[in-house]
Amino acid sequence: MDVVVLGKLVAAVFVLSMLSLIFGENFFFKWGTRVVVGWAIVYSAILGLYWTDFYAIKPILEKADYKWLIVIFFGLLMYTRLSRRYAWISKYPISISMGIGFGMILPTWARAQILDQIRITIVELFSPVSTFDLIGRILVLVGLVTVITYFFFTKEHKGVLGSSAFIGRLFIMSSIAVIWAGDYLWAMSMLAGQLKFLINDVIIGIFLRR
Amino acid sequence: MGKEQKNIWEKLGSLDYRLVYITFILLLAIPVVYPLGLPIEIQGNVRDYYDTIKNLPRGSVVLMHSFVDLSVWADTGPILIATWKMIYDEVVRNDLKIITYQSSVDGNAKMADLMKGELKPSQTMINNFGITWIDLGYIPVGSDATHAIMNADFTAMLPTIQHNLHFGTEWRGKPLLDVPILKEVAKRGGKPNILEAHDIDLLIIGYWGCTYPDTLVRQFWVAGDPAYEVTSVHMTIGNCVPNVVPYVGKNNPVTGYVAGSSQAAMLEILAGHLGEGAVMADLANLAGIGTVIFVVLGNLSYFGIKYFAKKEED
Amino acid sequence: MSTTFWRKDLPTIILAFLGFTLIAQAIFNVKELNDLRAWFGLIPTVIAYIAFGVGTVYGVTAEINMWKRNRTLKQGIITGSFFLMMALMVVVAVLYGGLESWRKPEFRWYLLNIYQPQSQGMYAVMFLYQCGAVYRVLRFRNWETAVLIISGVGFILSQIPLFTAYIPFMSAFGEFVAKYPSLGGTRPANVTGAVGGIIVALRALIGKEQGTMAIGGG
Repeated sequence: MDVVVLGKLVAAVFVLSMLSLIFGENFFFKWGTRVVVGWAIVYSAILGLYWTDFYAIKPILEKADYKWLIVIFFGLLMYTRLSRRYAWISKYPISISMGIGFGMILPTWARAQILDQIRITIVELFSPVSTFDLIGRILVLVGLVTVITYFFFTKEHKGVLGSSAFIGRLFIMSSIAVIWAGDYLWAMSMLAGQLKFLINDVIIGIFLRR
Repeated sequence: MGKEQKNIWEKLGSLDYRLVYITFILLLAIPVVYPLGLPIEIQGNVRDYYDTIKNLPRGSVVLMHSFVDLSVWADTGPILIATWKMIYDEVVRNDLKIITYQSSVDGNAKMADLMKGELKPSQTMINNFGITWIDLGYIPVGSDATHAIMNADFTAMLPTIQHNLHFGTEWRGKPLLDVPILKEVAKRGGKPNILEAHDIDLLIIGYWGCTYPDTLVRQFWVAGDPAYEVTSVHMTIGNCVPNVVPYVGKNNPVTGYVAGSSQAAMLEILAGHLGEGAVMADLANLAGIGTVIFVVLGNLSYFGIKYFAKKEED
Repeated sequence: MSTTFWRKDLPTIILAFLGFTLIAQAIFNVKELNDLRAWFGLIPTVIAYIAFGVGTVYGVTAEINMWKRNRTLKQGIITGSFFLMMALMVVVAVLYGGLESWRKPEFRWYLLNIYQPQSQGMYAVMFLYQCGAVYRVLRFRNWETAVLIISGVGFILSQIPLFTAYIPFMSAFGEFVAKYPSLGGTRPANVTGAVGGIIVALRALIGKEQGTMAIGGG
């Protein structure tokens, strides 16, 4: 039996182990997930060691770039999370990561996600490609205003605010609908792909040998 | 006391789940054995994705993220393959310069296989590796911080070439700016002799984490001094469509996107390279009917119980 | 200095210092900080890579605890398979490239024949659960669910050739839903989410969001 055929058979076992979940949680499903978790633990350990060597250890050894010793020290402090008594020490590397993360995001966040979004909504009203597009752009503007009123929780949703919040809810439902629909299509592709593999590659390709 | 008999409306709404599962499994399996081969209509966002790549000025520099995540390969793989086949054509037709990379180990592993099989480049492409195109390899980018560093200077994130292909091995382990194409590209835009986002004309990028478009817009459009404003086209899955659409438009950060294997089929038709996307789109046909049937059954049951069951009791 | 200083105040000072330094560098383009920026940006990534062992310990202890709680033959086979797979991968890594083993075809075999089918299989099962939900949950109860069903099912059918080939407006309807009403819902959600996120980030930088630091324990 060659390695490719063995690979397909092993893959089929794992696909069936996952699909067996439709009959309820069972031994075959649990076995399949635990085996992959075991594999993933070793795989992520190897990657962790490789990139630590690539970014931190090699610069120290090859270029005498000793500032990476500080980073290695803080990285090792993360292991204090394993001790209940000293877990608070891991706040130091976490605060470093968070501070750097916020510092990198904040300067661009307001422009990218707030100012530009409002600007684009208004600018596109004045540059539609067709009448239908103009109606659509007006719909987007109506959505922008009414959804923001929906998130206004300091005043009771009554009267004009109530009607506006209701319309905003409809726009939110439309958005959730597209997210759900995309999720449905994506998951459908996953099942279709697995069935195609089982039928074409395994049943027909190996057992029926065509 | 006897068991209360369910009326027809209640029976309609309480079918065994296993019947639903088996129905959909059969509806998806039938086209595997008996393909339907129906025509596919091209949607605007896919056409925009195609046109953006096709209408690049001659000699443009494309940063291509070879997006591979094996857990969603069935849905996103066809998009990547169709895009690469289009890129191969455009390299010949339009003299595009391609810098590709992967942001996952899955990607690094799968690209090695694809480049031996489905995406095997021509001998000319192989000979020109390092001259007109290069695979940087696996770069652990994904967060705002890592993109910010890479966009300011690629060598800060990846000092040496890390590709895993079976050709161009002489470039593996070499500093980035020793590679002819990267040396040439680094001379453009922004800071000379620094490979940065200002040197890129188009970003082709893929993801299935739906907050990623926000990161990309922050780091490839808004960030930089002056702002990078790198136009991008996106490969993604269906449920990220609402996250990418706010940025889509002619003068906006994103000029086109392809979401899922069904839209990959549309791209394959436009690019003239039919493949897995068309097969996957075909498999969805009968499942669509199943979806409609079960929605109708559920609602028949609901309205039947609401309006007719009461009448029957009366 | 009190315990509160070491456990709460100093981490907050470090967070604020780094955050405001990078913001200042971005806004005022301070030359001295430009060179350090690349190093700063890599620090969280490298810390995450060094900390891989935390996940390893959690994963292994969870498996051992599962065995301790349930000492049956079936659990024994599951736990045994878990450790056997770990041992096998360590051997493969040692024999085929060590730290570089993830590039090798031997390692790749496991990635493509175990990880890929298992993870895709999980999502395949998710589709079947969604089918059950489509049947049980999608009812025209009120205006909101009506919009949900029409938009959602309409978008699904607009991606399926059988429907776009025979229903003239199907593809256009799907495009319309994604481009206009859905955008009308997502765009303001993005804006309000960003406003909230910026406020939380700024509060964290000035030490007002202790909840974000509580994940460090203590």
